[in-house]
Amino acid sequence: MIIMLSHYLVLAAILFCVGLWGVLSRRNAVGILMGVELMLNAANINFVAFSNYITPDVISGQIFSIFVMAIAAAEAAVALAIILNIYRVYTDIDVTKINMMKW
Amino acid sequence: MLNYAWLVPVFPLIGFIILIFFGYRLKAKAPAVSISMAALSALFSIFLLIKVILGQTLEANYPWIKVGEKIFNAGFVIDPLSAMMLATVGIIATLIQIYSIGYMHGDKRYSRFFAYMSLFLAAMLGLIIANNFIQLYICWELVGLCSYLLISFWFEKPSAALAGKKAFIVTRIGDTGFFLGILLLFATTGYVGFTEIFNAVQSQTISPVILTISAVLLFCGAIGKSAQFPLHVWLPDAMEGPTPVSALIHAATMVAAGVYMVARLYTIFSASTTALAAVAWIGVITLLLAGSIALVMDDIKKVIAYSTISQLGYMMMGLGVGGYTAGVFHLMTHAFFKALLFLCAGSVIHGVHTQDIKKMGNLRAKMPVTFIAFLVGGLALAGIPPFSGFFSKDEILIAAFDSNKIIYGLALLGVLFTALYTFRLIFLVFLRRGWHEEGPDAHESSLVMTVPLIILSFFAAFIGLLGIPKFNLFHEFIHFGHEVPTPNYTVMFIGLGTAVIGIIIAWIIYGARSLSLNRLKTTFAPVYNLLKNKYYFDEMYDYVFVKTTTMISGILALFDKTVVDGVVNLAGYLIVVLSNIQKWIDVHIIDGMVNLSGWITAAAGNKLKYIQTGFIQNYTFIIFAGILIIIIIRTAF
Amino acid sequence: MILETLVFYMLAALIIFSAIGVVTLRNLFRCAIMLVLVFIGVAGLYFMLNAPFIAVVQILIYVGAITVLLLFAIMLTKKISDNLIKQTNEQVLANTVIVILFVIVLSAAAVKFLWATKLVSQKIDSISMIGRLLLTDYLMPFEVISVILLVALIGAIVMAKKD
Repeated sequence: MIIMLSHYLVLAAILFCVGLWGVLSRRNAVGILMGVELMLNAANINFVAFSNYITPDVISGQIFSIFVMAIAAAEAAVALAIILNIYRVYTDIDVTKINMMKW
Repeated sequence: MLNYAWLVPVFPLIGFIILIFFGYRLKAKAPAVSISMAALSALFSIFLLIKVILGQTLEANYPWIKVGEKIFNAGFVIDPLSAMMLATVGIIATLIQIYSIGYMHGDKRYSRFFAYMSLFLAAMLGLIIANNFIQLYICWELVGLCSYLLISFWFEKPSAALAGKKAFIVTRIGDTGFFLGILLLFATTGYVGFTEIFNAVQSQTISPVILTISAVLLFCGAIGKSAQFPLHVWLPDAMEGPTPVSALIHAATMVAAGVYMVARLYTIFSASTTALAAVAWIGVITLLLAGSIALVMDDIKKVIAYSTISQLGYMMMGLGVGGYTAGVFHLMTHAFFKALLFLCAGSVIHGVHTQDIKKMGNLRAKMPVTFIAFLVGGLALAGIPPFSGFFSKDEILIAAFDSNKIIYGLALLGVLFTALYTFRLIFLVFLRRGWHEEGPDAHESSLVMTVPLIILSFFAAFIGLLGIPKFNLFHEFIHFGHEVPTPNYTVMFIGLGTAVIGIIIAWIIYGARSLSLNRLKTTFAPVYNLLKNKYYFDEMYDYVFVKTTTMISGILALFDKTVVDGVVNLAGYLIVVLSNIQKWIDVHIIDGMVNLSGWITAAAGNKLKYIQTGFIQNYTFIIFAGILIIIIIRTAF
Repeated sequence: MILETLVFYMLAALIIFSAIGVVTLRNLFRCAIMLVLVFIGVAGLYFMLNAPFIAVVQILIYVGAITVLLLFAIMLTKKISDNLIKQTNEQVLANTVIVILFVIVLSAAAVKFLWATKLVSQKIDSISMIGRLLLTDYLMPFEVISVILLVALIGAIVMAKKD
């Protein structure tokens, strides 16, 4: 069967939800970050698939995915710097133990 | 010239105004103002009298008050009656004021005394020339006011203040009747002017019953003002005032206003035989009542006061039995000799500093001028010719004889009493020998006091000659209707004889002391006690009227305190209760609600704070769960 | 045709299984390696979607830079007890439910909607097109993204340095 847009979209949806599960369930902060990367990738797949199937002559989806990647990179850098700082303070990056903002 | 007659009361009024405002500054010169004004009025009055004798009369009216369609006039009337009274009052008032310079010397309210005297004179003169009821009533009340002010002149003495109040209140009772009479006449005739009302009476447009009732009501004013029975009780108490006041107001002029009023309104009275009979009988009762009390009084002024009441009764009786001229004639002569007697009494009091005749005696030697003057006045009062009292009394006796024999008999008894008490006074005060004499201070009064005495003596002595039966000039001058008096020599002699008998009795008891006074007192003890206590009139009035009024006021005051104040207090109490309830509501319910909202917020916060776990994955979970729910709800519905 | 389908499903399987591996494995290193596999799979997908440039950039950036960064971070924050403790927190059950529901909803939306697909006749030279577009239509985001990268760079350095 021909691969339709919906296939890509479903795939991206599954990938997104897996990433979501990781964000919601992992204890390790770096693990959560990995989940976020998965979610961003799923979004990218969506962009490129749309660009290919709906506007193939104007490839704006691909350009947008470039930007998303750049943002993801910047965000990963900053997040990891923060995690390093947290590690320095608490010597532990278990997010369940870092809850200073609780009541 | 008669047009300016209205100035006669204005002069003393000006004197009053000047003295009220500047009297304190004038001090000892104050009498000059009032005496000059009084003399001016007196001279002008004499001038008017001459003009009237020559035949001129005048009644003038000026429009004054306009009420809707009706116009009330202010006016004055100068006819023989008013001219005679003006002159009499003017002369006596001037002489008494001259006398007061000496008598009131050193008093701390010297100028105010003369101010009040001037006001009184203005009001009295205004009363005399009034030609309508409004002016008459205004001046009537004004003289009453001045009487009150002057009786309680030494108001530091509580008895003087009480006497002033008593005088005013008692005369007020009479004035109420007077006012009702005026209103009744106004309601029936629609006029207040005398001329118009006389016309209405004579044309018989008023029903007899109304006429009688209004005449009797008008007479009530005279009963009060002239101290007739039963409203005579204020005059003896009025002796608290200075003696010149007693002389002027309570002997010569104000009390005469009642008699003058009856004379002036004689048309109304003569139209009703019932009213005239009432006047006569009240006069006679007063004559005997007061005359009998005067026999036992020990205060020199009180004796003369009761004598005044008695003589006023005599005058009223005279008017009542139809003797218009007789009554008016006696009014004039009485004014002179009674004023004279009072001034002499004042001179005596000034000399011996006491009013109790028991403490006096043998003053003939110490105060000769006063003695002669008093003797002249006393002879006039007793009715001994050729002094004035004889002629005037005699005319009244003739009128009484012609009208009602019973009244005539009682009048003779009155003549006996008069002579008796007058000479009792003379014997005890001046001629008694060997009794206790008041200190070495007794001396004759100064010239300023004795000269008026002398002048008044002349009047008291000779003015009666105007009424000598043969040439009755007075009757030609002042008369009512067309009666012609017939001299009745029998009545004259009987009257004279009765007076002489009275003098002899007085000499027996008090002069030669042949009959023991103490034995008389014990023999007639009950009568003596009755007379001494003035027939218990004061006690009776006090018990019946004063105590009742006080009791009613007490009840009303109690009512006011308990019920009215109770209601007010209850209202206040209810308000306090209401506010307490409101306070409770405010504190518990309203504040409670406010507190409750605060408590709810805090409690909710307490429970809801657990949402903030600080666990970011919880928050993320909520986000996505929310998105899911929204999507599902949106697509499902 | 069949090749395309086959390749797609193989890549899909790779991606999904690697992704599940990323989020469940206890050893973080292994998670990172699985992540690499996901990236490579996604790059393959891009090739299939006529986006060669994007595919290469994906590998360059994600695998080359981000993964290395993650590895460094893992190494710097490692504890000995890491492999022994449970990697999932207590709200796992609720998460699973939510995630499954999410998948169902998103998939349903994707499948049910009628997409307006277009087919292009000739092949497009994507690289030159991207280059041209970046410097004309999308110049502004391009400049902004450079600033963002600069800021992120500085920020990361400032935060991570020892002082």
